Amino acid sequence: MISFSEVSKRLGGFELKDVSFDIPEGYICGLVGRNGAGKTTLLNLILGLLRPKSGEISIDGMGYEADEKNVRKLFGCVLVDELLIKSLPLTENGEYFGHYYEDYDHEMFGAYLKRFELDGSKKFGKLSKGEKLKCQFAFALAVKPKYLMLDEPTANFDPQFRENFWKILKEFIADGEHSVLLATHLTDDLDRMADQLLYIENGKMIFNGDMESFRDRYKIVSGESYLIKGIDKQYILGAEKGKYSSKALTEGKKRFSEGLSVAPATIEEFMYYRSKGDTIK
Amino acid sequence: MNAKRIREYILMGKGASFKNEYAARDLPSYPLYLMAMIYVRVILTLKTGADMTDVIAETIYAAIYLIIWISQLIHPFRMARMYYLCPKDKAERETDIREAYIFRSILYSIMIAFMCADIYLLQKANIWSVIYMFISGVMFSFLSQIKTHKYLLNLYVIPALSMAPYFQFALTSTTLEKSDIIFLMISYAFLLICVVPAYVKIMKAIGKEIKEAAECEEVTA
Repeated sequence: MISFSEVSKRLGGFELKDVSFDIPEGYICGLVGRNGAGKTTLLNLILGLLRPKSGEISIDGMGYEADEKNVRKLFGCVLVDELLIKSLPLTENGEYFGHYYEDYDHEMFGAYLKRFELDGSKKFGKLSKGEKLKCQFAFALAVKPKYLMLDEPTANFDPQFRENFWKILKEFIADGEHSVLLATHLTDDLDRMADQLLYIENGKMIFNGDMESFRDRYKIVSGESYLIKGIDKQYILGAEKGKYSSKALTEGKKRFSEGLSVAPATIEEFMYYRSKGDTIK
Repeated sequence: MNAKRIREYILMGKGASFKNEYAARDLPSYPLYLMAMIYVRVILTLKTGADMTDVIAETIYAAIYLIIWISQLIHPFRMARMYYLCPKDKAERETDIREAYIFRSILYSIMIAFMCADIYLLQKANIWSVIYMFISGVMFSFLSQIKTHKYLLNLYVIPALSMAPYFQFALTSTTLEKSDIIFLMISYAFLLICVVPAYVKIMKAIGKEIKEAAECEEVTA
């Protein structure tokens, strides 16, 4: 389990404040937030590339201060940065960095490269952005990690590969012993595939829980404007007035007036209406 | 030296950003200073009536120093980002970085040694001057890899400017007067008394840079 307890970190003018969550084994966890919300900072804290100012980070009961080597063995990652050596062919990159990992399987790396239609003899620097991410994804799988940390990989994947990607993630967590944390702006995929959601905004954790709880807690209500205005303000997180009707994002409200249409909020709707605020006066 | 260090030296150089490392140094004009020094030496060589082979030799020696400086820029202490994600602890990374630094320093020192041997065998300078060149060259190999070059101003610019004409004479002369030998001895004593404490300070600063490079950049932020 990846466990954050009241973790804070300041980076220049940005501050991550009192973030707490757990990511248990067997979950695909989506990490969502607007640009600059703190997603990459959070990932860097999990990966030990940053140290928290306060709070505690625990990976399977271990911390970076005392047990860095064993903690790092648990992670495979695909980050926005190009991690591999540009002048080396893909297979040699695998051999070079793979020898640091006890469980690295070079044949598995080759098999994934083939599955992703990548030529192992090609230099890493010669690949397109999407191909580089696929190669890093193949390497991350080949080190046989317990946790996969993925920072915005899907934006550069073509639609055909994106289905393959989700299939691989489902296979990865199938035994209930592994987990995936995926930071992404493509929230449609998370709505379909994620088991858990972390929503971060301005360095604060706004939502941390399973998707069922998310859908149960946040609703999109649409109908006549006067009916929307009739909803108690304490439940409304954001609203938008249209020409003929209005929509609102509500939190925690269970019962609504007749004449209102209620549906679970998608992640995208949640982000959109939160940013709008209550524009219905 | 082993195959692993040689391979890492070649690979890491191709991955580093010359532009970023140049900007990170606090004395980016260092190569200009180096070139100016060599230019002065070349002019003095010509003025003493030496032939063009001496000028070509001086240019090659300058090129060796420039190659070393460029190599230092593309082989910073800080490693590629992926390296900090691999299963190693801080102590192991520190050992790796320190060994890579010593490997590079020895490589540069070997280049300086070949240069000094060439100077001596071609009878371009007497043994004392060659020894001085070798010692200062090895110091350069080990110490100039540091990012903060301000100490090097004290080490090289001041003695170089003040003693350049005398050293030039000593380097081109094959028979020295007794007074010249005495002056060279005094200059060595000057190095020991005034410069060694600065060298110690630089070695400590290098130790500190190695320790900092053992953590990912963001950790030390």
